[in-house]
Amino acid sequence: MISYPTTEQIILDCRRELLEVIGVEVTSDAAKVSVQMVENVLRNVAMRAAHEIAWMREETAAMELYANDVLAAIPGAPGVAGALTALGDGPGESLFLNDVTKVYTLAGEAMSCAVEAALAAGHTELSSRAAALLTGRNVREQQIMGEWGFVGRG
Amino acid sequence: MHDLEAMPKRLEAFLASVDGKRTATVNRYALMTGGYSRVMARADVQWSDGVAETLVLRGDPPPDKAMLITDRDTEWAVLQSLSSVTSVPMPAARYYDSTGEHLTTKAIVLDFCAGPSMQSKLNELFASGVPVDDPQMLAHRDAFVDTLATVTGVDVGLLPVNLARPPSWDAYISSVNQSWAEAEKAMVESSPIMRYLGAWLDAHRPPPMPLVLQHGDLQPANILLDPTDGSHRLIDWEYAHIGDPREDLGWYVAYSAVAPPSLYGFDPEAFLARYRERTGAGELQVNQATVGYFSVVSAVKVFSQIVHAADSMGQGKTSGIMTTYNINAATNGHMNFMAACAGLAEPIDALRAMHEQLVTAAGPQGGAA
Repeated sequence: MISYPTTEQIILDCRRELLEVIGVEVTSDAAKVSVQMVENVLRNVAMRAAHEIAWMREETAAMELYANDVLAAIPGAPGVAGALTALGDGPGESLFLNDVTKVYTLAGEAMSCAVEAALAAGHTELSSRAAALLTGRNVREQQIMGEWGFVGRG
Repeated sequence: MHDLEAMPKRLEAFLASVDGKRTATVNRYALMTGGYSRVMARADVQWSDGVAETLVLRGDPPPDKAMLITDRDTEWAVLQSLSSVTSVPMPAARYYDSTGEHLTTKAIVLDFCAGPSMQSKLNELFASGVPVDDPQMLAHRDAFVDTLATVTGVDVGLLPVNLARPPSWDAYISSVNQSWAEAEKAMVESSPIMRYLGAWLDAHRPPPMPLVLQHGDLQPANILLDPTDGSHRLIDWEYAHIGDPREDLGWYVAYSAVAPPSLYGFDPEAFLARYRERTGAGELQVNQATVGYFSVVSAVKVFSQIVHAADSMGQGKTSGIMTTYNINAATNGHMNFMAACAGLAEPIDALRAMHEQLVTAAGPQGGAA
């Protein structure tokens, strides 16, 4: 395949075309709002294209570790063992985006069950660790989001 | 409702059928921008008796384009109930096509309010450099608080029977907190943040309050300013429900964080003092910590629909730029919700403990503090 320009670069160039060539010709209010939204989404997907596989793989490993630690601290934590088994059965080695996404969601379910068990048990250390992991996840979401505000509201 | 050529005739036929006496001519029909959930249109109507007026149509988008799903039947019932409550300022709800037979989708027809939205006015002041503590801004803040208080003051007995009446505050808050996990489990993608939030909210409950009417999306974009005196007209009642009075407060705090200027943020104590004065609420129940808590609680309905729309697109069922664009709103929500939880555990637990002490001290006859 032809790898340069990268997907991120191509998307950002489409965004430039949208703003500099198409957007300036748009006159209807509804279409102007659409252009602003598309511009924003193109920035989002450019960032995603550049990072999402690496980020999801890193977070998957962290979520799996957390779920295992909860299971060790709270044996019988509802749903955790089953979710970890499902994660282990997933296509963990594949780097195809669909597979990485699937495994990421399986790890998310294991972490979700673990978080609920930690909070229900009042386990302070595991609850704080969950908050830190999820805040880190959101920091990456914010990198994808970039500058954002409601357009067309008023 | 999107068909600009066909809609005038359809609307004329509908208006004639609901009026029964007069016929109507639609001189102008145009889609309106500004709302994210429903399709809105404005129509200039000339009635056969000489009356000319402008009406607003509020209908559902096509199913494969809908990001937020709400029930027009319930909204219409709420609007009809509120029409008898003169204290709640809103444009009159005039007619309803309950089947979509005439207007191509279930659609509510309302009086048009010519004034700008309060958000537009605030944006204008903010952009021109008016500081948030300027008397103009403070007047808007006070008027906004008064509108919030007016909604909570509606007699619940006047509301339509199809609006759910939760059996108790605890049952209600359990069900709302549980809805984070329920919404998450209905999606293909897992969301540990949603599961965390539901579990965290349930583990840290604030002191309870009596359940009241809540608008569900009370923010300045849903308040129109009457052009004659600037008084408020509250619109978009699709999320109205009976719930905790701090939900509308919390929702505004969350909303204004992404749609500045915030009328709350620069002086929360003054904002809340006026709210308590207008509603009679106590400081143990209405304070910065409980409002922070409800900034998360109140978001679950809209937030869940945003992420469900994205999930549905992921399954190839829907499409639309609004859905992908609003993934950013979900990110923003995650950020605000996690930050709120991080700072609230200690104060909320302390408030709850104080409440329990007061209840215990009051004894079995004392009731909730």
